[in-house]
Amino acid sequence: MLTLPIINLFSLPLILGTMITMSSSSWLMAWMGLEMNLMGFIPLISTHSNKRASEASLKYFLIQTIASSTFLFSFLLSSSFSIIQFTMMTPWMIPFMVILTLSVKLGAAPFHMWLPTVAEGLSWTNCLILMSWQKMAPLSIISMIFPKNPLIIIIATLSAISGSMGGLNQTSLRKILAFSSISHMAWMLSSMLISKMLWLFYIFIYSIIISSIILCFAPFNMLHINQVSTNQNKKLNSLITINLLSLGGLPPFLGFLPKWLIMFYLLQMNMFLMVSILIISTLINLYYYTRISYSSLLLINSNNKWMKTKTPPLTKQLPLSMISLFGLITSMLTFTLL
Amino acid sequence: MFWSVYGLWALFLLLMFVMFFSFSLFFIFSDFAVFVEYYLFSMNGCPVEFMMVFDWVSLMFLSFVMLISSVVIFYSEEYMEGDENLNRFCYLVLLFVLSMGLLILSPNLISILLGWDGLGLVSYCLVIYYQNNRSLNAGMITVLSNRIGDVGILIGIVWMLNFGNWNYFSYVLLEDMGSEFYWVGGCVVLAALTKSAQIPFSAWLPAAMAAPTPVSALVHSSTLVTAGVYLLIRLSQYFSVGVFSCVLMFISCMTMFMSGLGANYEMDMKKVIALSTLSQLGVMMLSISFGYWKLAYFHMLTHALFKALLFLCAGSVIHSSGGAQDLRYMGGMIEFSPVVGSCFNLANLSLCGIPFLAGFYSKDLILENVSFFNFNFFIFIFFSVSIGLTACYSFRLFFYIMGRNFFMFFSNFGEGSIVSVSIIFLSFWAVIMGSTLMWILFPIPCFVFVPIFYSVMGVLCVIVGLWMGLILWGVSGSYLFLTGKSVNHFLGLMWFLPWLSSNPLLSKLSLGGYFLSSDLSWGEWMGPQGVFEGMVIGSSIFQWFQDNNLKMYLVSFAIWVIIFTFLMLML
Repeated sequence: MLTLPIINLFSLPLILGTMITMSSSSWLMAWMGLEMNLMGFIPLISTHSNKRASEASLKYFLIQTIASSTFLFSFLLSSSFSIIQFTMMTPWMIPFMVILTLSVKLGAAPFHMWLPTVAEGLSWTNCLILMSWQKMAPLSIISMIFPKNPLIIIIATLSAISGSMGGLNQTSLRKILAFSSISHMAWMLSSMLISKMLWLFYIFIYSIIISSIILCFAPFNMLHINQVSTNQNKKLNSLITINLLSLGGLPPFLGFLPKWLIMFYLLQMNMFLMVSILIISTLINLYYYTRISYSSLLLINSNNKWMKTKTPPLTKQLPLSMISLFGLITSMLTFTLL
Repeated sequence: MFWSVYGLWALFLLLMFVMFFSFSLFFIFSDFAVFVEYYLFSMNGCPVEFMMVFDWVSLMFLSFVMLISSVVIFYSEEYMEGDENLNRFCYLVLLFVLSMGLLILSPNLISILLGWDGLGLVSYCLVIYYQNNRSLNAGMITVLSNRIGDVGILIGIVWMLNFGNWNYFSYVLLEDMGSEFYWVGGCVVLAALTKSAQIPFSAWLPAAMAAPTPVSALVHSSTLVTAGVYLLIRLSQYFSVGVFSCVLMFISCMTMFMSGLGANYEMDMKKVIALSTLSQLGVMMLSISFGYWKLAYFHMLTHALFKALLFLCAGSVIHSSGGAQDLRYMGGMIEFSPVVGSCFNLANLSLCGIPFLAGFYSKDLILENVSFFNFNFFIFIFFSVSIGLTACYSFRLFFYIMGRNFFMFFSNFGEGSIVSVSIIFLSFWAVIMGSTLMWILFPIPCFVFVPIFYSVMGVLCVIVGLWMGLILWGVSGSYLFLTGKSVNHFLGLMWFLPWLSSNPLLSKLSLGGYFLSSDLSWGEWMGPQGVFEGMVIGSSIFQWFQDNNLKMYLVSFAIWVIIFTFLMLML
């Protein structure tokens, strides 16, 4: 952590920008928060001074600024109808433009191609920020302004399909997690149709799971799936497996909880086709999560007796993993007791 | 010599022959039959049972099988002398006799499979008895051709499930079973065509001559190949009216003609005899297809005797010339081996149908009855010509083996005592059985009312054939007529039938691997594996979109925005 001051300096606009966007009541302030967030994240990417990081930062910058300027243009267009306040009625073009630009910023389905390539150039920490914190601001704008737009259904469905299909052939862990974040984006966008709380709940749990996974990968420098599948550290393997299954939404784990709620409410709204697409694509996700870890967990079992490996303690990884392991059961118990 | 394994078993089988033959005489004169039924289990009301029928048809055929196998086993003690696996040979032949007995006795389509498959298996083992490549190929073509017939019987079993019972005796009295029942007859005809080596499947019979000669005498002349004929005799009422009898008529007629021609060009002695067997099988099949099953049965019995005798004599020649069986190496048999040679001539003339030998009674009766029947000129001409051809190639064989002088391979010629005794014993039966069987089987003589020309036509055909054989093979002694290379090739190779049943089919058979995998794993491909393949293909399409420049991403964003715009406009 030689670059600690820079991180301290730029994580402030990173956090502050998102908070400004989430609490603003005008288009302009929301846009400004997004820009602050961007300006905070670019230097964080570039702290690792290698070619891939700078390429990733440039790509991220280009995509985000194009999206931001289109966002600016679209609400200026709405201001030409003399409407600047959020709550006013707008013609169909305004939500259309805004949702599309924000989904470019999110990396949702038809505009998702930049996300895996950018993630490939980032460090694990920055990947974590990209996949969790950077989603907050655009999602909050969509949920505050146009939560029940039909365009969201299309984007969510496309995200589910492309997130699951795209990750199937990948061998890079960062790309796999990027595609998985695309398909989780589908669930978050579809939870917009239900309530404003549900996507917050989802992204909270998603952040917990993805942080515990990245906490398992990052200290061991695992960047490709063969590094996981030939890994001999049994405890680490079991933690990775648990968290990946939780990320895929397998029932006894925490990841199932928000998916369960979303499925429940979407079925109450009679959106059977969308729910089945979401579930099936999540199944494919689960397949490639399992493929990461099962060979190390089940197939390869060799211990070199002549080599004493020094197993690092898993004190950092354990608490979050415990949450993702027992979260569903604990929360259900809590609700039952309450 | 009576106390060896071979002698004891030959004695046992001879006693069995006496027993079965006297039973059959008793049954035929008192018009009596015994059915034995072992009820195994019932399947939704369809009884699966092992059934055995003892009537004069089965008992008399069984007694002939016993007689011939007794002679053959006795004979092979000397013929197989010095072989490494003497006992195995003996027990294989006995197993063959056992499965033949099971086949003859059971009139149930399920229980007949026991004997039928036993025949296929044991005959395969006997063909590959000499362990070399040629025997293996011959055995393989034999067993695979017969497998087609087995499948025919299996289909027949499935079809017969419709009628609630697999005893085909149960349906004899039912006049109108509907046209569906003829399909059982069709399946059985298919089985019989393969077993009796009729035209599309005839390649295996000459190939199976790779077996030891006593085996050929027992299996490929008198019993196994007539199993198909026997089955059709038993089931004749099922298809004697339908389209299958017509098919059978043409096929058998063509088989007769083809094998008669082929035998005139063949240079392997055993194969000549095999082709003559084929043509006689054609005679039997033709008779069955006209509905004269009793005549076919008669011919089957007499043919069994004289053809086994012919094979045994040929075996004697082969044995004493050190295994050579090419006709061009032979000659002067009458000088060195007079007894076996005269028996050989006896069998040969009987095969031609020279009057008052065994073959004459049955064949002439069939010809007269066929000319009594109402049919077209094609069958008539082919049948007569085939009978002439039989005489022709019999004389060819005669000239090649007897007529010419001393030849190289006959230098160590002689007659073994056991071989001679068994041949003389069998030739006794071959002489007397023609007229005896006619008196037994037809207590009231067959009524045939035809003009005098038709009546003597059989004999005329034989005489013309003999004359042709004399001219073609006796006088010139070599190719004189139809010796163009392509004609020779075509006729000598049985109209390319062996090629047809080996090479083109082999490539089709290897398709079986594909069908097998699809049969075993279609669920995989419809289910998990297929979905996975589809997903991987889809994923590679996504990957193709992904592998692009940032500019291309932005252009694609623009295109998507346009698409969404149109979508929203339509909404």
